[in-house]
Amino acid sequence: MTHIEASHLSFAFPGKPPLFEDLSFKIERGQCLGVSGPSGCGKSTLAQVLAGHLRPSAGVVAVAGQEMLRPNRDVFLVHQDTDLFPWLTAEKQILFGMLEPNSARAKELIELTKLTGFEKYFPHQLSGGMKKRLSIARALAVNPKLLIFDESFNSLDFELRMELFGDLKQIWRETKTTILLISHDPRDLEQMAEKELRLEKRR
Amino acid sequence: MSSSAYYDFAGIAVNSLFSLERVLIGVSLAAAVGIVMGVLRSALPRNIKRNLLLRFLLEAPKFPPPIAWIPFVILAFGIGEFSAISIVFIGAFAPIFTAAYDGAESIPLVWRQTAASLELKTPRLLYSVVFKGSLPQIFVGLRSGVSVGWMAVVAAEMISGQSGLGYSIQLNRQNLQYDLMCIDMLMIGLIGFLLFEMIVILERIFIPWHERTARR
Repeated sequence: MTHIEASHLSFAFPGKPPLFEDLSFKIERGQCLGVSGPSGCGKSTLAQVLAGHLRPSAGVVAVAGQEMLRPNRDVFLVHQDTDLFPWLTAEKQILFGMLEPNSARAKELIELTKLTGFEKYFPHQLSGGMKKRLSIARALAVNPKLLIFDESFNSLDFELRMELFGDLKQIWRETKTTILLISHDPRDLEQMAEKELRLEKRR
Repeated sequence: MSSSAYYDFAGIAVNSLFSLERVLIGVSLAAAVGIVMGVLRSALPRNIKRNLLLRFLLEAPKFPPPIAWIPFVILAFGIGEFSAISIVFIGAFAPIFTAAYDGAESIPLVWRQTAASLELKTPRLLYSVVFKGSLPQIFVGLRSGVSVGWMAVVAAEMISGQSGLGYSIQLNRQNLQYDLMCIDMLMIGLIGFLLFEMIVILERIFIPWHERTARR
């Protein structure tokens, strides 16, 4: 069975022309699909639709055969802006993402994302790259069927971004998580994406 | 008469404690009710939140200054502790309630979306995300609330009190003891400052993660 399937998806904000129309694609379990396209072509909106935060104007998103009708733990979105809760330390941030808090699993994720020693740090005490690593750790703690990175590393400089992609690639290989990677920069997608979906800006 | 007897430091201390007790009780009650109401108001459906009548009912009572409520409170509850505490409550409630509501409404969309993806139940969403995320704004409200509450209690004691620093100022004015009036004023300033600093200390304890607190 196809793991993630988007069928004939369309989306338009009220009174506006559609951002995308009749969009269909599939992602197999453990695969990484890259989504590229210029600014304003609807990449982030597609992420919001897949995560259940926006309802498509037409079409269906199915996760492991189940239609995605509202946000749930099956699809987790790592946003462009930091979505960490500033009042939680790194360790609590990860535990918060779990259905059943599990300290041993949180420790594993902290090691996996190279945050050992920073468990008690608040987000404002972490560097930009570490915050992104923590976002990855929390997303993995949710154990979603699809993990979406929506230009998640774009606020970082190129060198740090490539370093993070290297780490993410390693994590992806170890965890075999299904990933949808969104970026306007083709160099980002080259790091991980096994196939690519390109959105064009509609006039 | 020795100077210490003339200045009656014990009396000043007792009056200060009376005022302080009233303001602490009134502000604590205003904080408890104002924060809960502010956070719950933000959870109302959008069409109810936008209802003009509801907005009027919630917003209009905060515009008359606390001193204008004094005659109504005396009519309702008479002269006494309950009335003084009620005036503090009325003064402190508005800024705390407004700050809690504004704070809850200002929660970034990415936090709400993350909470939705984590399938948090409403009570956990309201406590663990909305309330905690609103804390920096709530503390801004608490600072205003404690300042207004302190001004309100002094005003209430001046008009209807039988103890407290406001009452002491009136008494000393009638007795033409202007130097004692000045000491009362100094105590009002000192205690007001200490109350404000108390909120700053509470901020450091409860929101060490916030940039404003971290910068200090």
